[in-house]
Amino acid sequence: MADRTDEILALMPALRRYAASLSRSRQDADDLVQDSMEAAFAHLGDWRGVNLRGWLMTIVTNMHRRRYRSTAGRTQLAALDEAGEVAAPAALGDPLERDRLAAAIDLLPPEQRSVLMLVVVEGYAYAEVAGMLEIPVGTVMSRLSRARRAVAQTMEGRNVIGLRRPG
Amino acid sequence: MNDEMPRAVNDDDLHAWADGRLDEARRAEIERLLAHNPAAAAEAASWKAQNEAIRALYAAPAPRPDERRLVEEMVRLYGSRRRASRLTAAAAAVGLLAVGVGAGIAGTLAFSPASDDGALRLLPQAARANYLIYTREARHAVEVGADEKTHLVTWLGKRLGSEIAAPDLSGEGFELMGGRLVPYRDKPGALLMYQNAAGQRLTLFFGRSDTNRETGFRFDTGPGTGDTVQTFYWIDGPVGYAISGEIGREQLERISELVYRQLPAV
Repeated sequence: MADRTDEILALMPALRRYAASLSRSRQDADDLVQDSMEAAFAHLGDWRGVNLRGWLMTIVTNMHRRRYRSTAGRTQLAALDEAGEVAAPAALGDPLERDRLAAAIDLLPPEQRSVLMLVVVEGYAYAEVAGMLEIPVGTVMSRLSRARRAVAQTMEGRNVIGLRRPG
Repeated sequence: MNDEMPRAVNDDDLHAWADGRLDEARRAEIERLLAHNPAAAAEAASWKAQNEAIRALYAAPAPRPDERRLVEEMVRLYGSRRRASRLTAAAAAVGLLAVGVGAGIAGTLAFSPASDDGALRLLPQAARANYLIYTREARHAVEVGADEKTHLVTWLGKRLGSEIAAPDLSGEGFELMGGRLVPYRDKPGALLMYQNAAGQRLTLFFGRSDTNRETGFRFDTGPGTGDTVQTFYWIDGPVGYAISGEIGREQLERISELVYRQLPAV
């Protein structure tokens, strides 16, 4: 097992990036990485030895879904609040757009978010994502499509932004 | 989706184009079709722009200095077959990423659906419900008071089927009030209650699930915004433990550590 230390270490930046892309905060991302690493080491015996990176990505995905479930109610409400604050400022600078994008992504359900991030940020092919998540390619495509539309809609302000418009 | 799009360009093609997942021939074909379909072209372009914005948002983080230590620690931890030493090491590893007490041993929760008998889901719910019901009682908060502490822990331990202890939390300003027998999944569970000088209360809940083979440590913030009850819980073989309170995460975390250290090994 010790000889895998370097192998896993080399994958950590990618795992951190993926965890960050699934998480609402730096703290959440750190927790997600820590939990996932624990799971990975506890189950290193189950790994079939083919694609360590893909296997670890799958663990992060599953862990994210599990973690999300227990906090969904809280975080969705928080996301609405954040979206409301985004609507108020008049000047639209680049940092603000980034915040809006992050807020829009935070509204995605975990299944859609993980597919979007595996495709866009991690650069996996659709079939690879399907294999990692054990879902049909058609499901990958529909989740990807729904995720993109949802993000676009939120960014256009047709979704939640209007809920908190002052006045 | 878009009605004006010709059949030849479907939604999947637009995504594959935006993601650069088409081979040369198909890409050229799609681009020809898009030239005659401004709506579809705009959509494909918007997916591509969204991709770029998302990638910019999540750049790869720099390697962290503590990373090697973390990985080596895990190798050491899980390389060992002795469970006791694993738990101790996990507790020691907690500080590595500053994620809070016991996140260290949570991992085994993720991948054994066969042994997941719902214990993890039910434990914090039960602990929370018991906290809410009994800490609100002024006169009948506990069934057996702290003045009969020895009797209390022996009795509850016997009914639970596992030896328990009433941890000393005076270091955090909380004194044992007493405890009661409570139901948990059709079996006896145990609840201990503590109170500090300000009248704030905490509960320590014990529940048994004999089929559980998982070990894990979790933090639960409760189901809703504005909810101030927080619960730390962990499962050690057949016994689950949960500490609930409304005192803030940091203190609850310190108290969980105190409790974890003082409980007898199962």
